[in-house]
Amino acid sequence: MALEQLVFLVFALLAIVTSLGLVIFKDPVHCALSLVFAFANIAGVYILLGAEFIAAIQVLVYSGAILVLFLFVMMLLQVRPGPSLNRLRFFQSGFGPVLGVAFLVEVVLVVLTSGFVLNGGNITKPNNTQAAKMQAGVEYSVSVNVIQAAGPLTIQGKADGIQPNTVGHTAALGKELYSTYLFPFEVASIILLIAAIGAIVIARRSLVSDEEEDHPKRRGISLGSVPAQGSLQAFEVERQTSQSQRRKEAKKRTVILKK
Amino acid sequence: MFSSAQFDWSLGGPLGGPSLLETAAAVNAKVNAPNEPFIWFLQTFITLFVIMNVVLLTMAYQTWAERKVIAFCQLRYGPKRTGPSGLLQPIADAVKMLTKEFIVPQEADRFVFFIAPLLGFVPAVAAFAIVPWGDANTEGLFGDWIRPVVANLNIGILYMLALSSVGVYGIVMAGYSSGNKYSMLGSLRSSAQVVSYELTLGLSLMGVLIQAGSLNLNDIVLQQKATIWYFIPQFVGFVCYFVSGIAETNRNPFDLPEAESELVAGFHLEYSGMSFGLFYLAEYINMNAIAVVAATLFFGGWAAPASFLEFIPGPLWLFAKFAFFLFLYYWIRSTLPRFRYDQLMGLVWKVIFPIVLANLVITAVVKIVGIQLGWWA
Repeated sequence: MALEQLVFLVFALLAIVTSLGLVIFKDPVHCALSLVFAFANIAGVYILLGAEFIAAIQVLVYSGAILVLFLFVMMLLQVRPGPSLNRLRFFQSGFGPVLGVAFLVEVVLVVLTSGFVLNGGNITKPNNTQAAKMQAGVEYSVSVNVIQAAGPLTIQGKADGIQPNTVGHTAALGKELYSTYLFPFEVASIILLIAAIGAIVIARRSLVSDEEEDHPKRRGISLGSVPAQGSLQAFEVERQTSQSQRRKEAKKRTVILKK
Repeated sequence: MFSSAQFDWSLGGPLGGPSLLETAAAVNAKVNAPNEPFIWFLQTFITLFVIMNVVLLTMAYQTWAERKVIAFCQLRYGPKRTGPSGLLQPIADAVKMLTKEFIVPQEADRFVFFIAPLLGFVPAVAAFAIVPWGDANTEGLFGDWIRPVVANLNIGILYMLALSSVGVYGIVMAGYSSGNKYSMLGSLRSSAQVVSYELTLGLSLMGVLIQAGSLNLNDIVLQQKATIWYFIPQFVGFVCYFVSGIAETNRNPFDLPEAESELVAGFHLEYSGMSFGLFYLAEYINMNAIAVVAATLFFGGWAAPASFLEFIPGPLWLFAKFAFFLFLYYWIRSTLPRFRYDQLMGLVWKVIFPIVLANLVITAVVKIVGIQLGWWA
């Protein structure tokens, strides 16, 4: 069907254009923005391939990640002018293009040589209908039994009126992930957990016991003998001590005068 | 995605025997897609047209309702000059917005400044594409010219969450591109808030997902119709969802990103005319989306509460539930004072997050044990 090709072409072209924008734009915020658009368009291609779940996760996870990236850009970099191309370091300007071209060649080789791509390597062929893709997807990614087994899980046929068109790839994916690929999944989760713990350890505030060694009671309103620096209490204490000192000096002066 | 007319359904299934494809074909041929792709597109277009108009009109009159409810809470009259009891006020507001000048600040990042309102507005409206106002497996109104749902997605909940995670870009971009410190502060606050609350928003829906065993909104409604509205077994999840939803849409008492008294309105400070109007629309439509999803996932959507009430059509039930949640929004707004920033973050990470995690685990365990013991239907 021509329409499907048209939609694919729109998504693909936009993905390429926005990916180029990611590399070319000078302002890092513009780069982050075009990365968001690139991911959105790739999600569109996923939907055309019948992988709705991956598409949704693509938008959900990656856009959230880019938001954090965006915040890093705003907080850590000088916000407006980015580095222009001629001021890049040698590593960036010299090795970057080489690595990029090498990766491109790899991808092209993979696409051309192997049966990796569904439907004979041509996504826009007219016979690449939804049905053919589903069949290919069934043969390629998920064994037939899993889909059959996953069917009743999603349908639950108890409530009348529920139709079997609810069989998505999501249930099949979940079943595969938690049975066949359980070990890699758990390894990946542990790696992520370690990263999260590492981030917390690095970013945590120093414990109170560490602090008390050199700066006792530094934060907030202090009830101790030495108030926090710059707090209202500190001003008050300073005022009072200076007043009492002045009073003492005045007393001394009066004593001296009396003498 | 597309019409089943493109599909070669005579294709033998890979399974031998009645395949997945054939059953799906039977369903699609019966309900979702007529034979002509052109007619299918026309139907989609008409459905979209109707739903867009309903959404925008609801939004317009919801501002009127909000003013009236808040005025009632504060012992005032609210709008009453324009039209009978102020009913023409939303239209007057719209005309005012459309005729105002669009000013771009000198410091603004022009391109981003232009597209930021669109980035906020589009995801807000797109959320309504998946909300069913009738049984999506049956024929819609006028011989299916207005379908019960625009897109009966199998990944409904994930789609909703993905849109809500994209929606914050409008706010962040607006704050960044305005070239204004207050806007920047507002957008930074907003992004931290939305990133935190998005997590609990998604996790609080997972209980419903486990119970229904589906991500499809229509299936979830049918399950509720057959068993019980999920706000009873999932009450904890519902409360957490609604609180997170209020925070996600930057409404009172979580409206720190646009705190008038601190940030002069935050991220949309530099916007004027219809570009401000788009932010205004986006905020209210996001609110509507949270309310309508709460009604669909927890309160049975278009399903009537009892079988003898089924003579009232589904859209009216959905609207009634939706209106109840909107009233809840206004009620909360006129009752509670704004949170402090550390309270806001403490609430989500130290209170709501552990609660929704516990809810998720307990729901899963109860379902598995229930299936083993045969309690589960």
